[in-house]
Amino acid sequence: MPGSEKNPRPHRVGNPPIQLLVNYWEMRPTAMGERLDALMRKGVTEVSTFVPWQAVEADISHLLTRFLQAAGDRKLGVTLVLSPEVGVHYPNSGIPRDIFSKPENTAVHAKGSPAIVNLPPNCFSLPSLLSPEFIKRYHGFLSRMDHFLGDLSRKGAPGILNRVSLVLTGSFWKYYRAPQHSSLSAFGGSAGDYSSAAAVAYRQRTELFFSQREFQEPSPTTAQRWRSRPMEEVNRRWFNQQAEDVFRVRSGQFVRRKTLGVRVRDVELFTPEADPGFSYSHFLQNLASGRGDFARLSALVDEASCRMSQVDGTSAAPYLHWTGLGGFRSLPVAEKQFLILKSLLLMGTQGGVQGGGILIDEEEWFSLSQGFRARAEALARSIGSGDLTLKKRVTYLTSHLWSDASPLWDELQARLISQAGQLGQVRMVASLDLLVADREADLLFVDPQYLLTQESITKILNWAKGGRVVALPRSTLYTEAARRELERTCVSLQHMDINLGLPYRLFPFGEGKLVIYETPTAGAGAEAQNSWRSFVSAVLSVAGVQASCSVSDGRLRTVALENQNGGIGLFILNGTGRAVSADIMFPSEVVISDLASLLVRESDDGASVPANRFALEIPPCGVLPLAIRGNEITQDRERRLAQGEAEQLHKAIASAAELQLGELQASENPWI
Amino acid sequence: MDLSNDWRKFQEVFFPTAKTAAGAGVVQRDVSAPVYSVVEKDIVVAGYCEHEDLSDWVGSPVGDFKNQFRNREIVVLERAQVDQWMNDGLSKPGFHGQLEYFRSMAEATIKGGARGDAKLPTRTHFLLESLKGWWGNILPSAFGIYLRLQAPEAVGVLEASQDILVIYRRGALESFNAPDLSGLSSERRKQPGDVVKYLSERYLVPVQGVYVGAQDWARWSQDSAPWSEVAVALRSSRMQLVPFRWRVATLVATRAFLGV
Repeated sequence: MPGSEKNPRPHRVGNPPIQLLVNYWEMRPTAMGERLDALMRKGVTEVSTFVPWQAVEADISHLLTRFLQAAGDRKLGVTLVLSPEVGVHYPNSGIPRDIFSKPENTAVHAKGSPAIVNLPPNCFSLPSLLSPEFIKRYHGFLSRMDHFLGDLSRKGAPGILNRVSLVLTGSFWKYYRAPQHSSLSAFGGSAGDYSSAAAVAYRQRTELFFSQREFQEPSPTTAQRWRSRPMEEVNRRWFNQQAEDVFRVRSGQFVRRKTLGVRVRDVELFTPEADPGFSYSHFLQNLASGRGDFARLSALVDEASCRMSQVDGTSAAPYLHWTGLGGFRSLPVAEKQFLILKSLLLMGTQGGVQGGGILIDEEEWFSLSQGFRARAEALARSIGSGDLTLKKRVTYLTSHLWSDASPLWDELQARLISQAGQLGQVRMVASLDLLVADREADLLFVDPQYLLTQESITKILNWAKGGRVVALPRSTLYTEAARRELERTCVSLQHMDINLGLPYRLFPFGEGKLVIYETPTAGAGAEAQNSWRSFVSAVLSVAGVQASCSVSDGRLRTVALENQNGGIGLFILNGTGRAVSADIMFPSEVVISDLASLLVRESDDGASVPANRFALEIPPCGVLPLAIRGNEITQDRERRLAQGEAEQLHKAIASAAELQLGELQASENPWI
Repeated sequence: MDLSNDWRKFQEVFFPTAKTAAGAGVVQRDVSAPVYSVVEKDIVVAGYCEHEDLSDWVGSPVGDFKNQFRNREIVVLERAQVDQWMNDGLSKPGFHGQLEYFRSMAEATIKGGARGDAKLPTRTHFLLESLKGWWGNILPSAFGIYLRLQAPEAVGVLEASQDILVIYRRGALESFNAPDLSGLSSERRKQPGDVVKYLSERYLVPVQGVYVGAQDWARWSQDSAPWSEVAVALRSSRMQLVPFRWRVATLVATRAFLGV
């Protein structure tokens, strides 16, 4: 963390929420030490650098070794970002030029054109991460890095890698989107690689997947149904997600062979300036030689913060990358500061110890005022030490994280963000493992296009038993075994049929509830939209998900963080260019005070008198931090803590029982 | 390792923003600023106007959009065309070359439209614009310009100053980066003549050194035609040409005299 002070409760050692980007290949070898000394004088204790593949292949002067040596000598922490990424200040983002010479290595988005990234130092089309040649060479690069670091730890200066960690990112997968769709809605349309290399891999993997026994029930001819043309879109999404998951796991295996002792982290790096949803806007901005489109960038931060990816069942820490190459650089200072704080609040507070944050160019960071940096660092410290955490109350399970979801998702977002003004309440996942590990959410929506197997139904139902609500679609995308499992569960339960435009059946289930909903027929327009809206409202109400506060002006947004010292840390964001006066309302009486001074001094002497409505004025591009305390808030937090502990206890008992009674299957145990 | 195209440095020097530009805080919208859009099948796919949020217009009919901004200059580009230009631009070298290509294509489209005399409303830098224009007929086919922006003395010293070397070949900007002067002793680095000579030998092109105050440069960069100010600075030695070439000084004076 830049300029970090002594942290009383180190929570996220080695992955601070603010990471400064200092690219080693941009330094002259002779000035490297001097540059690092200058950074240390500014209080920097850790830096991040991309490791462009081409730079490694052409590194005849052993620049990376020198850099690690110079950083090691100064006890400076270094994070090496290995994956090919967008927004790297290197030609073609560091991908070897000869890869681009073959059209079969180029990725194609759903509309049949190359996926182009138009960021300096040059526009280039993304390569296909499914191209056999690309994969072979990329794995060669990772092996080379693994050997390089292994050799360095054995033959280099003692302890040279003590403060070095490796980062593998989500790479290009989320950028395989058509800009014409993404301009209308950031993750609109189908994402994924539609190149010839991807088509071959798609056929092979679907063949293998649907040859599993479960898909051949009740008769082997049933498997044909899953491979039929109407299933193409569903299967493509499943395949794209699965291909990404496999890619990430394999990449991790290549760098964990010889680099023992070097920490490897999985990160999801979002670069809004390189996003297809920003492509046309950036194109027009460049034509006009104007400043960046602040509103567009801000909206992309909202969208990115809703999506949680995973690697091998663990969440990948979400980071927002502000490059200094695209639209961000040319924004007025106040807008930059707003985006930095917003991304820090939405990304840094997610995922606990694996938590994310922002990656920002060192020059951009130090171009901001000292006062702002001090405030942002104080916030980052609170986030890093776990004092402030974001609890996402609603989870949405989808088949592909980077493709559009059903109108249910849009309505959910509209309800929570547009109407209630609350950011960070809902997250989208495409992994059942993440769902199982999720103890924050109270409610799960399963996308109507999600393919449900027996295993997934079992996991979902077990999750619901712990006092949660699950909304499952009634669709044709259940395997026979999954359908049997669900019917077996529901047959003994009492239920209530409700129809508020969209019929659904509500079952009390363990301590939780189960909702099975019909999907409206496609193309029903406004009527279908109203049905979704009523349904979402009803299910949110059943799950008891309600905003902790509301604001009287629709231009304002709030981020409510759970404060470990009690109460909530509420941040009110004004993303407009004008000051906004508004009232903030709470369901019960609370006292509010300045959170910034509370975090620094740990006392709230300036607290207000108890009330449930307060008038505030938020400056243009302002972020107002408030500490909120009240009985209901405390009770709610205690209830959730107790629920979490009870669940952990259940799991501990279950695992103890499994150890003692090995032959007894968990699902057969009536106590779990 | 030298980055032949250091985009950050290029932007910092030729298109300064934030601290150096006026209005570093929130900037209010300009009600006469030109409006740009990408459209498809009469629907707005993307809109852009500096300091203005046009996101609510995305997905709206083009007619309504044009009607709303009828008092402003509107640039409307077809989505398929933009995609085609981006695809074709991949073969151009570097982002600057690609950008020039996009601008030329957009301008050709506007000229082909209803307003044949229209120009693309875009902000340019006075020096880059001149080097791209008729100066190219007078200057050598390959040359470099070494710009050294000197920080005010009160702030002090060399670290606060910045420099860039831009190299043109056959009328096109070939490279731009902070030159590597590590081959020069610290004493020689302080001698402008030695620096320019060293760069000419290293990059094998005649180099014109321009030493100017950072504040003057930042002010001129915000202006589309600051040539009279540049000429005054040259006369009063606030700006220094190294070596002093009459031909270059005459070009500056001519532009100042013509007032463009």
